[in-house]
Amino acid sequence: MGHAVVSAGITPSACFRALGLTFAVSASDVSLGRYLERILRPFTVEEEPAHLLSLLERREDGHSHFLLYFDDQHVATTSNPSDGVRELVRAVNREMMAATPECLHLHASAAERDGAAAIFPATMESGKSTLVTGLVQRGLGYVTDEVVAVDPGTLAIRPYPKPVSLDAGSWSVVPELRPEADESYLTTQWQVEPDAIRGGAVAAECRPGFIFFPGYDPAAVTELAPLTPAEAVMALAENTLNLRMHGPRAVEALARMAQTCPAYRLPLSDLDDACRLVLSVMAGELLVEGAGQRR
Amino acid sequence: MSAAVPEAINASFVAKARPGVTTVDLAGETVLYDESSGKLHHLNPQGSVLWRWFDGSGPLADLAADVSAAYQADPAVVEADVVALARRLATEGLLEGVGAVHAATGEETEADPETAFLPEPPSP
Repeated sequence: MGHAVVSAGITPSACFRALGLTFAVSASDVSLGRYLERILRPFTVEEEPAHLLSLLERREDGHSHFLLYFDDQHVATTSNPSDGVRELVRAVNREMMAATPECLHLHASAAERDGAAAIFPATMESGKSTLVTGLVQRGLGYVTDEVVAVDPGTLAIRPYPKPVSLDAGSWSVVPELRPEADESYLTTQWQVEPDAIRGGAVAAECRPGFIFFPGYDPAAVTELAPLTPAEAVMALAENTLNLRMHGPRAVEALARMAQTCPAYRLPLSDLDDACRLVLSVMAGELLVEGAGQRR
Repeated sequence: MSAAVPEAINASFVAKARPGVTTVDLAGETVLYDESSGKLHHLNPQGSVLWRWFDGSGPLADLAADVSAAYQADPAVVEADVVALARRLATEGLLEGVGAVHAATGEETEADPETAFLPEPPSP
């Protein structure tokens, strides 16, 4: 490991494993270090970490800056610790993907029941983190809120239970999930450990079962609009972060997924309504004309 | 006949998928993946029917005649649609021997060629 932090005499955390990435974290503030350890707890393993993520505070001219390092590489500088934590979580996302090139990486959240995952591919600010939070509160297993890692051969989904990253727009929807941490760590984004949403929420390996493309719009009517398999492949491809790396094999894997999973657009303005629709589809209680009939 | 640019495609053109284009058939629709550009293209059911016939076996005029007979459609309309589709696919670089060689941007776009002469396929 590299290790500005170690050399500074700050003790790194326990080891975490995020799929193929093993790492420890360290912060120049003990309280911040505890917050990081707590939100990364689902990744805890008894191994030697291969990497170290360090979040260091530096004071200059009366102002604090937070510097993020991945080993000895400077990754980002932020003006507050909350953004520093957000950058650290993003770095874990990036390095996890770099460490699992064998997987397809869907920009998506996912939750599962009985081994079948509901996948929510979407761009940023589409509500995928809030939606998966609501579903976990309602009993589903937590797979991830950012990157769904899929084996292109078997379509098995490998859980990536990172902390759920909730932006300010979601805070009033789930105020009970505000992390117990120094306010300065929470000014721009909450990082919520999965067990704080519901104890034992982290899912095991699962398979794709349902696909919903959420799109948050405060003026939208929350409803399901079925997609054909080809439309689903196109939308999945838009949200596949390493499509070109896998080439035709990726497209074929997405096609198999779309052929076996009902797929819907899900414009949403209300979390309760969205969760009710998703849970109804997953329970087989709601058949939306089109999605099941065009296969 | 070969055409250097898509606009030169006419009924005598022999259309054939360019190597490196992966075709995925999905419930009557088609997704094409162009490995060289990283782009995906979505063909509606009508476009999908024609794409399967773009196999280099004969000129578009012959294909149009077969299709118009099969669907009892106006031959002139069919031929115009077939040529238009070939031009659009060639513009996307999906046909052999014609069309722009686009930069490998990784951008994924949807081309959904409209073809007016074919009826909607029946629902399975």
